[in-house]
Amino acid sequence: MNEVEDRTLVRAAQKGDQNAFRQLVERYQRRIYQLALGMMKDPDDAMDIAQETFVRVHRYLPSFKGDSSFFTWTYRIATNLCLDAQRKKGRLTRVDAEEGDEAEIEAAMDPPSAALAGPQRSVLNEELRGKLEEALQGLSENHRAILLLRELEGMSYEELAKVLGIRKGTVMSRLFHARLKMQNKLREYLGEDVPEGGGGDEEV
Amino acid sequence: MKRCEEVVPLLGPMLDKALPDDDREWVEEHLAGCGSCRDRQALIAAQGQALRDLYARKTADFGGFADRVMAKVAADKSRAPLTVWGSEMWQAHRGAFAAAGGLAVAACMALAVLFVPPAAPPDDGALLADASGPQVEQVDFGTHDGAVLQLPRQTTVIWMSEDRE
Repeated sequence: MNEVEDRTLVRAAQKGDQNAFRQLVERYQRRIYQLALGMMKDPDDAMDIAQETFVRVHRYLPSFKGDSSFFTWTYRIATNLCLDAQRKKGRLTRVDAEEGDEAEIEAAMDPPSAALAGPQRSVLNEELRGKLEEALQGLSENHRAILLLRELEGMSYEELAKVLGIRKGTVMSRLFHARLKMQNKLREYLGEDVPEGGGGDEEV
Repeated sequence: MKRCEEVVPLLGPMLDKALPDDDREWVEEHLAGCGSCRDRQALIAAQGQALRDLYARKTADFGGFADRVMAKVAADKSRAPLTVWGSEMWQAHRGAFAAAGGLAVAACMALAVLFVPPAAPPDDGALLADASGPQVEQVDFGTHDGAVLQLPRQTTVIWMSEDRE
């Protein structure tokens, strides 16, 4: 997305130009929905979150100073709404500790699974697609959020730090553990042995 | 050559182009001689690609989405003053509210101490509500820390801190 265009539209919207705001909505609606869908799973919930995100964006637009990009700011609002919604549903299993986990790193030493990598998996079959979704939903919200923002949106570590309100070192650590847990969950679903220490519920 | 244990945590950041140049150099050097780490990195890349493929197929109908948002925005604007007096006012001035709440609690306690006649002390582990004087109890509300102030005549004041994040 073009940040210069975003800034122009944001400035116009801040002055009350509803058409400019509408363009911002149309520009980001699909991506915000995708993030919400990954976080919430249910398409209706995701659509509600996406709508509410833009209502909040509009509400707080007068106070948006442009310290971060509009894109980053909007994602931060969407991510927080998803986490709030999960909390209200009692499904939140946030991760606070960010220390390294030797057992998980040891698990990562296990040889990569041939079932997960390799050219034969370059096109996902239906079964693996379902398992992938199950594995994603089996992660904690913090791990799911960082994985979606990085893999779907291609956010830089600086952007991830801003959106998630964490330090860059934490981004690195959280992403590492999120990827590893995802791999281990996929191994479980595909009936492979999960290396000791790599498939438990301990969160980092 | 560095050991695999040292390289593994950096394989993802390398793919994400988030490694400083000097680290990238020795990770590349390791990868050149280590097939296992090349496979591990390929797996991280494959997993990311699989997620992108998965979500590329998930489509939704956005017809009317912007219209619905604009309608909600218009409704939101029309109730703006009420909203400002609600959660946003709390968010913006919660520090001041907390201080005012603290003062109010302190005043209540002082009044209670001054004007409520002391009763005979309970002879057993009486319940908080039956105790004669004001009592403060720290309480774990799960997502919040808080305190419950029990005043005489069944008056209870609950004081809750901000979210524990």
